[in-house]
Amino acid sequence: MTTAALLRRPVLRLRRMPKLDRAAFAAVGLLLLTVAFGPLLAPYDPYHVDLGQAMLPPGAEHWLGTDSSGRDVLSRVLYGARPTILGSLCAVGLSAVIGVTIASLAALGPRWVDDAIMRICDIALSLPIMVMALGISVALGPSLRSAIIAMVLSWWPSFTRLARAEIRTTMTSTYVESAMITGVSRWRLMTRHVLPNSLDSVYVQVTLEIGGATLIMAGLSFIGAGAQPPSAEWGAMVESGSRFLTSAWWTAVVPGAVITLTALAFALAGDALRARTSGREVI
Amino acid sequence: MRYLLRRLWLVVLTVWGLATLVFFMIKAIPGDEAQSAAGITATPEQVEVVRERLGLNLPLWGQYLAYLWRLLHGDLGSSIFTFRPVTADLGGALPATIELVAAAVLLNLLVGIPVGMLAAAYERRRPDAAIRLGAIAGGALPLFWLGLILQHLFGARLGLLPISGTQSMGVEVPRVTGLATVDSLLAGDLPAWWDAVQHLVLPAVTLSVPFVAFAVRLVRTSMITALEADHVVMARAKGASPLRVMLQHGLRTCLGPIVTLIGMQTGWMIGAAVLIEGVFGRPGVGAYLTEAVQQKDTFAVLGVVLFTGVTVTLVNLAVDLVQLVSDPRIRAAQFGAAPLGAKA
Amino acid sequence: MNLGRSLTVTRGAGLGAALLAVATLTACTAGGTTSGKSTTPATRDMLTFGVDGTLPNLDPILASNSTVDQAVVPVYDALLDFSPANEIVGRLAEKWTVAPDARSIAFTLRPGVAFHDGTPVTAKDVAYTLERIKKLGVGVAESVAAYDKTEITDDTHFTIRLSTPSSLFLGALSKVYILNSKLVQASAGSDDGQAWLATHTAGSGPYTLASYTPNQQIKYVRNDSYAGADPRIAKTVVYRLLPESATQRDELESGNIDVSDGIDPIDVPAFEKNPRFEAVRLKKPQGLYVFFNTQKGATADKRIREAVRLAYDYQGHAKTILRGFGSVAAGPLPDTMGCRADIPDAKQDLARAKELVAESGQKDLKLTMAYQQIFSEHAEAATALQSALKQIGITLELKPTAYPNYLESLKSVDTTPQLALLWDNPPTPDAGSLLYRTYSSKFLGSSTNYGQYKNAEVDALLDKAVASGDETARCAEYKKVQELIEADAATMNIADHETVIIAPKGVTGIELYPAHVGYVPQAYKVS
Repeated sequence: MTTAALLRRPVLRLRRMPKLDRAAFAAVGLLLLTVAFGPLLAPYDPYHVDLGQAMLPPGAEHWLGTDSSGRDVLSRVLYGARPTILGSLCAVGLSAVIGVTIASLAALGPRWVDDAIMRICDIALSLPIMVMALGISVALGPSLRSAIIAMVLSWWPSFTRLARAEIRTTMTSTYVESAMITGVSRWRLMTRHVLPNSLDSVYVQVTLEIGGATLIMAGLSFIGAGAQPPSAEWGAMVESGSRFLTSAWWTAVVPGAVITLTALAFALAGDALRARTSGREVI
Repeated sequence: MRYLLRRLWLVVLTVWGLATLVFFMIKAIPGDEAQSAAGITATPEQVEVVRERLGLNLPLWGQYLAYLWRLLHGDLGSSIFTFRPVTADLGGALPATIELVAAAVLLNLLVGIPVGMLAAAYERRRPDAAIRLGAIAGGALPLFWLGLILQHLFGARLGLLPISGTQSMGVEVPRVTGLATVDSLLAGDLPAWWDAVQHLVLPAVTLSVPFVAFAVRLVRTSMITALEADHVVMARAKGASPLRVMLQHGLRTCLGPIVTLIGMQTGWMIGAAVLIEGVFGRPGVGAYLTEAVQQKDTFAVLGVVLFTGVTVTLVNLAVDLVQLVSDPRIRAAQFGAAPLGAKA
Repeated sequence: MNLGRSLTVTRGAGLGAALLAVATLTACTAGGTTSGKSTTPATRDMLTFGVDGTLPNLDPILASNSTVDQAVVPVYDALLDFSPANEIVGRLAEKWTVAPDARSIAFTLRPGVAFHDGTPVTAKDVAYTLERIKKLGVGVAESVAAYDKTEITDDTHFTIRLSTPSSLFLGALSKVYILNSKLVQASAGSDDGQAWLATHTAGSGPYTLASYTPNQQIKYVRNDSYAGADPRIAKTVVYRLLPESATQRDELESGNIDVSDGIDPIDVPAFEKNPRFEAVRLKKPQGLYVFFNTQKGATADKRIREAVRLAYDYQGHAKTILRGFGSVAAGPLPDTMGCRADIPDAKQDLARAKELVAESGQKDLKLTMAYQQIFSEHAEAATALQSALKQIGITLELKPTAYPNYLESLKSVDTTPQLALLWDNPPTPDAGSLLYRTYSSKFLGSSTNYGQYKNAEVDALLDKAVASGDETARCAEYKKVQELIEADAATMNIADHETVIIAPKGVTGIELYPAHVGYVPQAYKVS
């Protein structure tokens, strides 16, 4: 399904939406704009260290103050949207692509392939992402890349499971069954008919998971397994600011609050999407 | 019975897969494995002895078999820093984590179930909407940040609760289980117990927040579904009070999802504990793992990875078994997907 | 020991209600507690030290690592130590005479000293300890590499013979903690007791090990049969692992630890004002450096090294990153050491730095620096240097590196990082102890010549000084070496550190022991 198709659906018809959902979509839009244009808006160089300007409280010069190295917190928050949100988007997006591909293979292949894939999912799902990421950071060295790899490694199976279930449902629909009878090849059937009709819930899931992924990405950087200095990744900002909660609270509180708002916006938007696409109510 | 055997076989398969994964992780790490195993203090001769003992002079498949053989004997290697077997270190760190996770699960049930029921009772009305928003917001809080702020407010600023550790200095009880709250009770030392509980409050609350949020939504949904069931509607029509209906019919139906939830949350929580334990200075598995990563203590890290994976697998097994015993419908159903995801 | 207060809740309520109390959170606990103990400053039986970093392996052969040294110093005795006045004083040794050719030292042990199990300390134990170090070749072995053999005359008299003349050897003995040979041999496996000593002790020091929980705490109890036991020191000493400086601060305030040297400088003024505490400011035998790979890549060019050195804001480092608890470095030796050459403070000069880069002909230069991201001073200095180098057209890539990996990378010039940010602690206050192991080409490819530095003139001077028995001549040679190193811009010397020890009011004896970077708890007098 193309983006245009998605837009034509009632999903994003704003007028009929509750205020809260509208706010959530607006916030998500704003965050995506920040990812795209944040660096252009930043008033200062987020990496420029000026030890003479350290820990200035929020004021006219620096709206959100400066950190312990004299860097502008607002500029860093704006730059940090990329590693944090884009990094999470990458991780979830890649997981979804890999997950769906593998689910299609499972559906196309013989029974034992399906079985094997499900077992591999079990294995990957038994490792919490934090633990997996720390293992990987020992193997590959800590970096944003390692964090994304770890997230993808432990995330794709949930998409595989979801997509597999949806594909199975679609496969049994009359429409697909009749296509099968007309002798369409399995491959064509999958790419032209089954997948396009099975992916709605995957899109919703992606939106829902981005909020959680942001939390994990920030958490990984916080414990030192993710983005490294001088990155303005939000979790890393919380980490370096945590020492100064008594003397310069803004260095830790601001990035933490931004993480919370981001996760909240994506969670609400995902919920709204899910409610609309499935017609079901959300748990 | 066939289901049971199949389930156990899957557990074995998963554990084997995990072991293989960890084996390749070890191989992916740059540097001489025998040197890391022998430790920073080892002489070249000692390194050679270790190489021989670990079978690292064998071809890859031989190394793999030797590795599996050691695992079968519970040998995860030794920490290069503590010089102790990783299993011994894990044994020492485990109680603090178990205590934390158990307390968080308890909080989860004590808060999650009643609030979820409340939301269901007020379905689509104001309290429900407020609870839903609160739950979403709770799920959006970064744990490490929340922990820092709670610690700062309640520990440092207000001085209401201890800041870190599992016990105050000078409070000592004989170590039996390693769980400070349990050991103090066993010793009959109530002040020490109260001290341990106080140390547990902040980390457990922090850890439980996102999970409570999740539990509330789960309980709400399953409760609503349960209340729509025919026999419940019937009971209502007969004039049973709403509370009674909820407790008697609704809660019973909810038990299944709740058991599953506890199972999957245990896995998530072990992951999340990595974030929390460092902040609150609790000497648990998560803190051990973080420390080991910083010291590049390869075998300690991979030992924890393997251990966590196996624990989560076993918890999932336990959940399935409980379901099997308690719910005849599942007994009849084919074994489906394991609980979705062990994330966080 | 402290909690009498909150019992009303527990007693009346029983388990179920108390668990509910957990659930309803702080509401219930609020009335009950502050974990603060109102200990009076006058007498105390126990001193609890907040310890930053791991509580490690207790094998004293690893005492070259300051964390290990701090953990074993209460339990063991060395033959001798350095006093706060930088003088060598006897511990187990009563008398020693260095031969004029600096090839042997004759010792007399203090009589009547015993290990914790009652076995007397004899020449045999000294010989065992030194032989073990020689055989294992790790940790402190590097600093006593000149050791050849011990000739035992009788239980209290012996002579240590050296394979090469070394004036550094005597001072290096301050980190050679003497082991109870009988006990170690009885408990050791095939590994010369490495595994056993990692968690057990075999010493004769003023404290005995009471309990050891790796990565949590170590507890020591005063050894009352210690010869020359000081009744004023605390009966019990506890090291508690608290890796976060913010946690140390909060625990110190609430009385769960008594002493801390890991308080973030920004929080020190609050303690200075607090009447319950004493903030003692001491110089620390530690400096922060950037070591260049002087043999390979762009940093083999002296102009590039000089340019990097000139780009950094040293004043800002001392003032902002160290918050005044430290000073701008002047030369390659920290300011706690003797025989320092008269080298001016490091200074920033961006214009000159740019010129030097231009002269070198390098364009769009990219450098990589290894640093340990777990230390906040490292992270802050690394980002500050990166930002500074950007101004002179050099891109600095930061590579977080675990310390063991860094040491491993030094085995070859090819793997040695172009730049490495590092704390360095001199093994002893003797200038030669740091200069020799860091700048002599004898140590190329070992884990101490961090810059793979090689200069024939420096080598010759160092060899001569180390072998010389004449203290004045030696000192002049060390000064010349420092000037040569400086002229080569071999190392970027950033800052000398100070430490602030926060201790309860009334505790005395807190001084700098220049051979030890960490705590020396037996010096703290509580009454």
